[in-house]
Amino acid sequence: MTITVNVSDARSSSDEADTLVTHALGSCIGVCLYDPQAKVAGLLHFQLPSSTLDAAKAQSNPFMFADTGLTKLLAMMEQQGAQKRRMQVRLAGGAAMLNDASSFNIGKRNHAAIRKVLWQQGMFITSEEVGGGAPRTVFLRAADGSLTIKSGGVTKVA
Amino acid sequence: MLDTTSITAADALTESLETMAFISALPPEDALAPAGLAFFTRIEFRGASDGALELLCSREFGHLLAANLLGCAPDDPDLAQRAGDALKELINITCGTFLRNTGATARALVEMSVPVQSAFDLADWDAFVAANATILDAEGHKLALRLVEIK
Amino acid sequence: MTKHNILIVDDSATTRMMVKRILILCGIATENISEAADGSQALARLVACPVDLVIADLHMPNMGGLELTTRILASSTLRHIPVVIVSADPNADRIDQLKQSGVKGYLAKPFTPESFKMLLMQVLPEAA
Repeated sequence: MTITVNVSDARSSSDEADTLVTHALGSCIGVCLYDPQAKVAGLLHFQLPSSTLDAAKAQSNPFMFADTGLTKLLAMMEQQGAQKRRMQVRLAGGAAMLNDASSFNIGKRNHAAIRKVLWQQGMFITSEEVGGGAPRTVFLRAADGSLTIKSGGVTKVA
Repeated sequence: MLDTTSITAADALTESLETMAFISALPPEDALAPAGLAFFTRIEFRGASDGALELLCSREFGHLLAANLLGCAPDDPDLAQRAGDALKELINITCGTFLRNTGATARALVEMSVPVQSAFDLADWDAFVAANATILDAEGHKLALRLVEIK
Repeated sequence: MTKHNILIVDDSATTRMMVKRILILCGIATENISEAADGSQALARLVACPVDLVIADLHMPNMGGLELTTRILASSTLRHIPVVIVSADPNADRIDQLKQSGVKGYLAKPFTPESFKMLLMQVLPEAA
């Protein structure tokens, strides 16, 4: 089954038949987590770097921010048997979108923010496809953690 | 040439902050000076040309830098002790990156000094900045970086 | 990985703590990680307790990484210990000389946790 992760959203799955997908990763970043032993996949699509920007919003929607979003996704996956020390971590997004002059900074700031939070959590990044000027769509398969990234008509397996 | 190398020094600082400390440094939105206590950190280099990089920032930024480098919470009680050392390491890394990026070592060996540090009264910020400093905003904290020639 | 003993040599306490954290996250036991603030302290520790890997900065007071490396490589009791350099030194010629002299790896500062981990995996491949 295809599970769509919207903007400021996160989902996880331990069903091998599931694929997590998120679209339109512009300055936002998709955080793709996979525990190969527990076979649990998680995908976070966050918009902003830090919950300190808006504490009230972080309460109502933690997935909007890198810090609260990752913390909550990890909790969801751990409930399904995943352990963060085993997780593969892959990032996609953080682009500089030309239609918004301020979003260049947001893309870079989002990238810096998620790297910081991952370091705080003691997690290493396995691979990343960030920056550039085009939006991305990612597909994460729960069966084996394989990740496909589509952007500008090009498909890559990460 | 000085303006170009000042920009290159600022690029080196930005690169160092982003790579190791996960901090984005951008041009500031205003020219207001920070307030309170500050660190003044300096490193010299000698080679084909002799110079120094000088960094001025608030103690709060030093705490943020140390917290990010160590992956700990910003209210960790040990950070006050770590802030100064973190800034010395930052200027060490920035200087090495700057020298590498400018190709300064292509002509001769360049030796960097051990960084030195002192307290600084931010009331003197404007005077420091007026002497050819580049200002960056690092997550709400103003940094001033200056490249000086040693004759 | 947990059985490896590693010595971190850097005059920056912050960098030593960062590197130590990466080592622990890579599975090195905390009690197997030792530290020194300069080359002289490092040599004293190595003589007392040899390790499986030395990670050293170049620019340090008292004795820098260049002299430390030279002394380790010249010592019949210490030369078997792999040395990697982690430094902000911008001199490519110096880095090349170090590699030719027997240093097992080099990582420029600024580095990411991931690039440091990759260096560690290269130098201690049996731990991967």
